[in-house]
Amino acid sequence: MTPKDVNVSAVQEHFKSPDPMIPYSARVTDIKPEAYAIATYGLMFVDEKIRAGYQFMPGQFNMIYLPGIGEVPISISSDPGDPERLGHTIRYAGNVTRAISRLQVGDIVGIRGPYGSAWPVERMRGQDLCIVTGGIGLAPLRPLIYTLIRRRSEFGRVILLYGARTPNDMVYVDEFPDWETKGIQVHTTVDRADEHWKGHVGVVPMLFYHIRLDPKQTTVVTCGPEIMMRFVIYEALARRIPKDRIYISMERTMKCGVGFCGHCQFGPVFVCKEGPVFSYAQVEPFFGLEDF
Amino acid sequence: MRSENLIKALQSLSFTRELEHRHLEKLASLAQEVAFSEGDMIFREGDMDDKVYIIQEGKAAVEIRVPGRGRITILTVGPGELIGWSSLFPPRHKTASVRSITDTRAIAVDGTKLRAACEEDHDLGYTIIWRVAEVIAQRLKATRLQLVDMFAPSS
Repeated sequence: MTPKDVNVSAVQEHFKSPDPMIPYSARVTDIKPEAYAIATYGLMFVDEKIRAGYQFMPGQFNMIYLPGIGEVPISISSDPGDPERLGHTIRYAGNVTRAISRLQVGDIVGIRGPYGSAWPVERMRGQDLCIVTGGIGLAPLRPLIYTLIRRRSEFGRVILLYGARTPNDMVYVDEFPDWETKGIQVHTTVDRADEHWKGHVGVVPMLFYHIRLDPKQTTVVTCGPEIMMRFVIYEALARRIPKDRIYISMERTMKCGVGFCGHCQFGPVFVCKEGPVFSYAQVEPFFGLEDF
Repeated sequence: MRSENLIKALQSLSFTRELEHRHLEKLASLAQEVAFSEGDMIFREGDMDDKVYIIQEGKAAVEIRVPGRGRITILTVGPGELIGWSSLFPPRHKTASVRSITDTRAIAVDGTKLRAACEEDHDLGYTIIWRVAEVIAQRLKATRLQLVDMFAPSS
């Protein structure tokens, strides 16, 4: 299966490593705590030529390598318009990410990438966009939001529905006011409120009941836990959004990032190569099935 | 005049949008507008106040009191949404508390009279119960997702 509408091979061609398994050195330029056990790492390639030639598209990921520890796929969360300063928002959850949590500004990591398919920005032109995400799932969507802001006049309404487990689990909250002034409607909700939270309480798919979408001209994009995306898809389909205008970003255990090893096989596709971004029409036959 | 205003208000709310005019007239005859200030309790868990409310303006928190943990907000509701539906079904007491988080205006419908009207006119009854069922189904979906704690870090 070839995801024609999200293929970004042109970009991958542009930044072609002589060997796709060889990482390039990058320096940690800044570390910004985002939420509990989540931080955004600013990274810059040490080699000026690599830095100048590197480009990525919203939704793609890099493999980040720590010598002697291992490698982990991390979505790029920074602005594709400024590819020299890469941002990766990381949750400390496994061996490699916990080792990353001990890095300091100035330390060196290895990066190879960018890999994977991208959010289909060109196909979204002229459409209203409903971006539905939760927790750290906003990270791979942030480059899309930056792109939409930069090209705001090319799109209709842009609505962000963002949920988190608690108010303390939300990321990029400090950027929301700026996004709103630049034409992004931001609706937030939490599953569990604390006494300080004055906003909405309830799971993020239910925010669909607070907005009205025109099925003829709306694209829905979603990224988050698979169970969340399943319910987002139900709500989108209930509003007659066509399956080929619902896009999801899949997560599977990825090792090589280039479709060699097969760790991330998802039905007939490799998530690292043909994904992570798929239209729902592409993955419907096996999305949400047990053992897939 | 009062009834006409209520009919207009009901027509604009998602719960009662596109009801037949005769049904809107009937509902309006059983309803009154009510207002709550920020922090007011609209009703409390266990109350037998027998009213259902459709929020017109503002936002309210659906809460359950948990011993040792105080009031836990499980959901917030806003314009067009129905609260107090448990009064329509036995044992007719409220199964949660609802507190206004902002100044809130709502349309309160007498539950006893509404049930009688639904018995008397099954077309009205079918429409109302269908819409109430949609609300309950939506809340059930939301509750299931809250229950699975979908954003919990995977082990």
